[in-house]
Amino acid sequence: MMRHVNVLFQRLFIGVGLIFLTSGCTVGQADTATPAVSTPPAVTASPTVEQADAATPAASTPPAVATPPAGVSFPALLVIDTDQRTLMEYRNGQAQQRFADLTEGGTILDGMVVADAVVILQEEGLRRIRLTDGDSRFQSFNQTVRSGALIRAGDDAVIYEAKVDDPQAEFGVGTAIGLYRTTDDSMKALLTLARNVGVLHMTADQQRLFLLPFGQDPSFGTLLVVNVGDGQVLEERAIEGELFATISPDGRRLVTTSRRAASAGAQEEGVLLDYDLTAPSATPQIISLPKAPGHAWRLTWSPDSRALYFLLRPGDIYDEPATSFGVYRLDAASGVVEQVTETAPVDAFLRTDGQWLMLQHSGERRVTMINLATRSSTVVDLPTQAIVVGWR
Amino acid sequence: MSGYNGYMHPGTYQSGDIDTAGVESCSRGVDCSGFVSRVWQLSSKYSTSTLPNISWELPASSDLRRGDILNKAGSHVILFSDFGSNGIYGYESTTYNAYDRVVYMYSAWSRLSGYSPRRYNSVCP
Repeated sequence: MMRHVNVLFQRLFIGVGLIFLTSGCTVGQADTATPAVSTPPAVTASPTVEQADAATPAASTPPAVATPPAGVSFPALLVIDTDQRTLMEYRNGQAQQRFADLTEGGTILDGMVVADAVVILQEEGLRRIRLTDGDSRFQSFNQTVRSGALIRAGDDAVIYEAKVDDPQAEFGVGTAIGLYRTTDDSMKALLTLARNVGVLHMTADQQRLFLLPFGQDPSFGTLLVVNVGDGQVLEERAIEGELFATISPDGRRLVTTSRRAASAGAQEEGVLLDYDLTAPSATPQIISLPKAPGHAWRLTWSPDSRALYFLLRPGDIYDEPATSFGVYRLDAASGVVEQVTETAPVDAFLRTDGQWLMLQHSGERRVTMINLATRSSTVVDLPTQAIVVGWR
Repeated sequence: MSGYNGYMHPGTYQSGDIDTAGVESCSRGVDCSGFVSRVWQLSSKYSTSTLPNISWELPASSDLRRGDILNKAGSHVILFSDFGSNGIYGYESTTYNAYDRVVYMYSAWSRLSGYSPRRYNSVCP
């Protein structure tokens, strides 16, 4: 059977500066429409619900927190309350600090803690809130963002990937990519592409981006390495996968979710495909999953690139399972897959700092914090619709 | 696929949200390959990468018949309906032109570069 070859995009469209307004919002200035919110003193002694309510309406129903394991200092969660549109800190189930109002800027799409700041991608722009003093800065986009995500780029930078309407794009969706750096508090547009891509990684020198082009379904077949300076495609690798792909923070490994039949005619089962990006060969290592038939769901690397965490779920990746097999861990060095916890939500967004693994339950006001050293879990009920952007 | 059938049966939702991982409140999957999986009555959802596993490539685009597909692995698939002037008419779940649902539309051959004309294995040739 003849294999057909995807059309290769040798050059991506560059639109440096296109997405940011050229006037009206100066980089480095605090946004006048959304002034910095003064930081109330942290509540340190037996806060009452009434006190918390007065400053933080979001805490009208105090979140329930299970008792952390002995000897474990539970982190304070940094939470975007999407009902009240505020950035809050919760410690031991109580609202401790309100950093900023988020009433301006449109829908909140994603948020992430980067060094001493929280970066928030919104429908109308990118916001940075300094945790030290609550200073808020907002830089507008010149086009409304349909959807988007933030991707960590080392310890002190974050990339935004913003999907925008683009009549020139093959499927009507383009991607604007930019960078926020804490080192100089700079926000910079990098590329605007006339196609739908996901950003997987940026090299440590911030010169190259690894991009995953998407079409009209969740499968993918190409990894692009693009020069940030001029948008040139430096390398194009054939890869395989559906739904999830992630590159380790050190840039050496690409892992995707895919399906394989153990033998001809057998039922397909979920697998992980592990690509060595330092090797010229595009042949991945196929990693079988326990408790087949099942599939890996949402993938997140540890910051040291030694482990990949994911949910293991029964059935096919496109099924809607009612249960989960738990949280699992792929050891990057040995390729061994082991169970971290027996219980887990069916769907959750995963994030880890290497010490804690957070599972923000999909469709629920709840997060599970797993201490990776002790493997103990703590469930936190959030008082409102919220995005947990990190912890400290 | 059973989930999709369940959503469609009561007539509560519209078919054709291409975003498999996060659908709109008024609709339930299908992306482009999910739509083809449904029309072909497959037992599970296939993707543009795996549809070639259950279909065979036609010698030429002129051999296309209604119900065949034009597939581009890792990108998009169109359910063929009829030939048109310098192109084809087909059904597809797409975000093109902000449709974001299943539409019946014309595509010029120039748009279909890289697409493979294919027929489901379980159809008589």
